[in-house]
Amino acid sequence: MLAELQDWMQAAILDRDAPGLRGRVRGDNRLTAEDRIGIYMQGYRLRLIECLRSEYPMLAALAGETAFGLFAQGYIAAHPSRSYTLYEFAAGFADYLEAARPPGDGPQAIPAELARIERARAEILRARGVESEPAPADSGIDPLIAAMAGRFWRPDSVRLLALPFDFTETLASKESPPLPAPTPSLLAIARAQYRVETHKLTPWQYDWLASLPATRAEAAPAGDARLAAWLPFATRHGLAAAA
Amino acid sequence: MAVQPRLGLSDPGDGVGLREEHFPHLMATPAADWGVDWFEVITENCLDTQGYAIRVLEHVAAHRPIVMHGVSLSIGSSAPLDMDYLAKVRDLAARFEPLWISDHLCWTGLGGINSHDLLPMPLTQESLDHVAERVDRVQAFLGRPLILENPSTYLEFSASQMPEWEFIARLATRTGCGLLLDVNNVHVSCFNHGLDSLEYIDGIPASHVVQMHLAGPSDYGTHLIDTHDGPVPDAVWALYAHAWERCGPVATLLEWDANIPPFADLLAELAKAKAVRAALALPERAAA
Repeated sequence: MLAELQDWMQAAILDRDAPGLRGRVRGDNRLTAEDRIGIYMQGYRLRLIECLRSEYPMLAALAGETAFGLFAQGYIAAHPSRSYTLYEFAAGFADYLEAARPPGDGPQAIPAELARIERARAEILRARGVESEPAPADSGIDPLIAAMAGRFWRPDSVRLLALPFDFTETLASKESPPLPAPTPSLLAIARAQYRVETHKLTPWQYDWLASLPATRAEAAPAGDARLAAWLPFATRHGLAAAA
Repeated sequence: MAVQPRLGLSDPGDGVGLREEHFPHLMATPAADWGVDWFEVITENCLDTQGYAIRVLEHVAAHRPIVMHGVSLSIGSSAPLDMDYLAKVRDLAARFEPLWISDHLCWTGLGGINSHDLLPMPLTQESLDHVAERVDRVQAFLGRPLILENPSTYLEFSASQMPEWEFIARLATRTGCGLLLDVNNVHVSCFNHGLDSLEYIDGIPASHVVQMHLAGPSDYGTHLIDTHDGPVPDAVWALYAHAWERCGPVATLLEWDANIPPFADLLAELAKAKAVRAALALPERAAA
């Protein structure tokens, strides 16, 4: 009885075939059985839509209420949560948007790419960052020379994205973000002192960060004067960490 | 054997839920000026993360008692217990040493799906046997009593054989679990089902109650929904007074999860609990 009732109620909430409502749920003059199961059906969708809106605020602002609602409802129907956290539920939104969009490289590709940026930010907020890493000893030598001689690694609190659009202006405007420019761009999203920032990268900066090992034990030398000049910025903003 | 009040657990006083909106205030304000006795953290918000939420929790737990309050245990589900989840809960508890671990008398899903809702139980003997067996297993796994909260409900199953308070009382007596008496949820469920909220409170075994929740629901005319988005209504304060007379002193916690106000406003609402208790001809709790 318990398993059967729960199976029935879950099917009803997910809007799947669930006959026999009135035999299972008590209704009265104030709220019918349909009203009562409807509260759970509506609450389920609203909660998950709100979760997606909270995890993807830029996409919600760019797409607008109606379009974002359609994206969210499609995702909820296709990918019911299978995790104990809403954070995990929201993880596949970008892939869903990419798979569901019309073909082509035009504006229809924007939602998935923007969702990828926002998901990266959410991942970084929860990742192991450099805040708990021991600070490198102050050798007293010039930072440029120290950078040339140092060894570096890429913390888990960094994500590198190669995107078909330039989202610089979009990300800078929270109220009414403009569409991104149709120009390929390279981004790093990183955390330092628990602040998450987005950085536009040059190809050589992107390639070097991408080449870095993911652990302190495997840290690699910089060995390049151009890199050395940029490294103080990179380490200060959590893009790379000195071993 | 007589059960000790609060199962012998401590009474940390009046607390609030630890919410992200208040992180800046708590990190910038000396702990001595927080104006709150303890904090309740949502367990799932602290799992699988090494971000700022954990840094704040470390800071808060260093200065105040904390309680871990979960929403995904799904103790009433006919699906198997998620032992990986429980292991993470146990590890988190080992790290932060909460006064207790609580969750809800509900189920959240089947077949791997999580509705992220606190779904109602059919209140049958079969359900009671099922939940009791799982509570026993969870308590053995965690090595401590599980504290279960009565949920807000919007439907009753035709198959139910007993009122919720009887189900809870029998479950607590049988398993030795503790109870988190959410007086707002009593108010919401009793309104929605046309039940007597005082009879509900009177049916709860007082010595098993270790904590109470206060919150504000939303009134939709025909029904109330447990939204935690506003001040505690008068009807809930009246129920709190009645519950305190029966079950106090116990830890009291104000929940506010949407339209979250500044911390000072939260404290002002929490202070009403003390005023309500002061109006009762009962001794106030001993100093912590």
